[in-house]
Amino acid sequence: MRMGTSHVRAGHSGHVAGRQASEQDNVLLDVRNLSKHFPTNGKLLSQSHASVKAVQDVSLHIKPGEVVGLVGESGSGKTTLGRTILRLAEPTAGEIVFDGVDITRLSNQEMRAYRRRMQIIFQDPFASLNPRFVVSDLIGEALDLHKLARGKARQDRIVELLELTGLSPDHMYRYPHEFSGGQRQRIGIARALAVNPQFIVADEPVSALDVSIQAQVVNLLQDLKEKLGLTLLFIAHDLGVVEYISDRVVVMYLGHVVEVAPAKELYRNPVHPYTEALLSAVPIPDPTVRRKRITLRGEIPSPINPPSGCVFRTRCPIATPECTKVVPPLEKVSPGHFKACIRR
Amino acid sequence: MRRSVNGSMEAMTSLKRILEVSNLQTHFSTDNGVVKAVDGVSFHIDRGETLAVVGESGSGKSVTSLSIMRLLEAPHGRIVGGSILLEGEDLVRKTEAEMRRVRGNDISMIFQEPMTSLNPVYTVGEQIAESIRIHQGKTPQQAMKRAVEMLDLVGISEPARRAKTFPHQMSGGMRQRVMIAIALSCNPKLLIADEPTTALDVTIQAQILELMRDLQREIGMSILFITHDLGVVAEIADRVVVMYAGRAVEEGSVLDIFARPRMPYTAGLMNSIPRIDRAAERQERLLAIVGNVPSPFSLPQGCSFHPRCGYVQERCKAAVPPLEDSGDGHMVRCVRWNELDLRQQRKSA
Repeated sequence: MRMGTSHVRAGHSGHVAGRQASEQDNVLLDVRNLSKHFPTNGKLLSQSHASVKAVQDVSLHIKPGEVVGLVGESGSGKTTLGRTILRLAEPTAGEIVFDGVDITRLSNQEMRAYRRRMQIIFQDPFASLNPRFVVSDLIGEALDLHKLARGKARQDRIVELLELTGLSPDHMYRYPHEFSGGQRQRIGIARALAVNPQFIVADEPVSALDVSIQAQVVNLLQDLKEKLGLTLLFIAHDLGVVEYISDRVVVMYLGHVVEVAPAKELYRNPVHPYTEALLSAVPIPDPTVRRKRITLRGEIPSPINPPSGCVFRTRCPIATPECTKVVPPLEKVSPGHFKACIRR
Repeated sequence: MRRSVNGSMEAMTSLKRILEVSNLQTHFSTDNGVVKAVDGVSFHIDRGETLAVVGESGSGKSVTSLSIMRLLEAPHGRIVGGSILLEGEDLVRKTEAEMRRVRGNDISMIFQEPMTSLNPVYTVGEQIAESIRIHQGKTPQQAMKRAVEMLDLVGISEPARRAKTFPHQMSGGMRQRVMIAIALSCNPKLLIADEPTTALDVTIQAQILELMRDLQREIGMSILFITHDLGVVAEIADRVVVMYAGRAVEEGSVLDIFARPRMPYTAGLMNSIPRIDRAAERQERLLAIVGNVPSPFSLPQGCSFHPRCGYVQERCKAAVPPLEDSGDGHMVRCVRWNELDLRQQRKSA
């Protein structure tokens, strides 16, 4: 569904996104130098142009059928990045090339067709479902908005979606409060799938769920991915779940991508000191395992005044004066493995 | 009840025993009927020990801790049976005025969300000093001096300046440090920590767990640590109680429980977590526990876990299994614990 030649991607080659993406020519989503800044409420009549630099010059690509995990602490910008990619927040700068078309330039009207192809699953299945709608309305709403099915076909499609997500057709006329957290998240997934999307941003889809339910929903997402050929951006702070479901993992810190690698490679051989510290902080459910822990000093700085040079340097155990001067570029470590650190 | 009948033995145990909860029953009356949130729970904590109570939502772990603090909202939540002995004195029978002296002095508590526990209109120094003034009868000047010392103790840099800041000027991790400073300011014998790191990032969680371990070594208080995270349990606890639907289903030393889980629920929880240290041997699918956490209004007959259990038999549905000692104080509530080798399942799984 190309929207005209003017939007078709130009031949970038100079920057990192081009380099990363050029290793694989088959790309569904190519995010290039994307930034999202939020203006702060400055004092009245002040000249200040302070802004929260939530996402800063981020480039990444996702291949069709791939699951890319996005990890980082709260405040790293991972949720903002996910929402900006879907244009639920308007980007400040950069390009979002989806299936060959830069969607940042599309009008709202033109964007509609793309909204059907790109969906989102939210963290909190309690907050994201309208309590006054029954399940068939919650799921059917998406079908109505995009004029995908009516009457009997609509009904059949809803039943199909319920069965696909492990719910039962009996659930059609029940309200969200009648379901458990895990079932509600299944409804959220059914709703996202209703319009047959190609690409889904799953924003912390299991972190509000009980431990025994998380594995069910992760398994469901994996099955659906196989069955429907979905492409996923899986945002989570649980590094275990991300490792499990992802093909590749992107690590963010204070709005910047600091490391990208195939999942196994990243967990076995983290190169960036932040990735290393993050992984070492994950508690292992085995009291006999004793690991070397790299405890980070302090906390993530304010994105209004991020540190100069490398944004991680204020907490980095191996920072040098040089790190204050240079914004480290994403450099190749091995095929598919990139890091932004001048010390490693 | 696992207390010794032998008089001298009892005297010896009571010296090292800080808390002894026996057959605690806490019920809530709601429009839809009575919820037995805690249904006959027993455990003990020794001096300087950390006991983790682990469970999912609805397991009764938080209600257990609120019962110990006697912080249940009357008239809905009530302790209807059992005893809570703090150094031999039953907290269940204390008057509200007596309880007020216990809270803060003998037992203090920290919660999941430090922002909602701190008062937004007072500086953190004033809030720490307040509890010192009330419980230790210090002058405002002495109390503030001690508050600054406490901030230093919990690892906050520039404590004198930080004492003058408000909660909203601090990050989540810093606020939890302030909560710990308040909780420890009167040298309690027991600290109850209810999911203290759940709202924090892993890097900050690691800092707070390290702080709690260091402080325990320094001060020697006992800790009751409530959590849903088995990783955190492995890291901080000496012993574990696993709760499910209002009952303790397994109890033992942390090494024993993780090496030899005997209740299928505990083993199921351990299997369902993707582990970053075992990425190499990972499965195609996670071993999820089927079904949902049961509703407190319609608990299954017999063993509450039976509808989700892979080892269920007819007898599991008949009666609630007793909590039995499977050896070395490893308690398990499962009629089949003797015949199942859940460790085997973990390996081949």
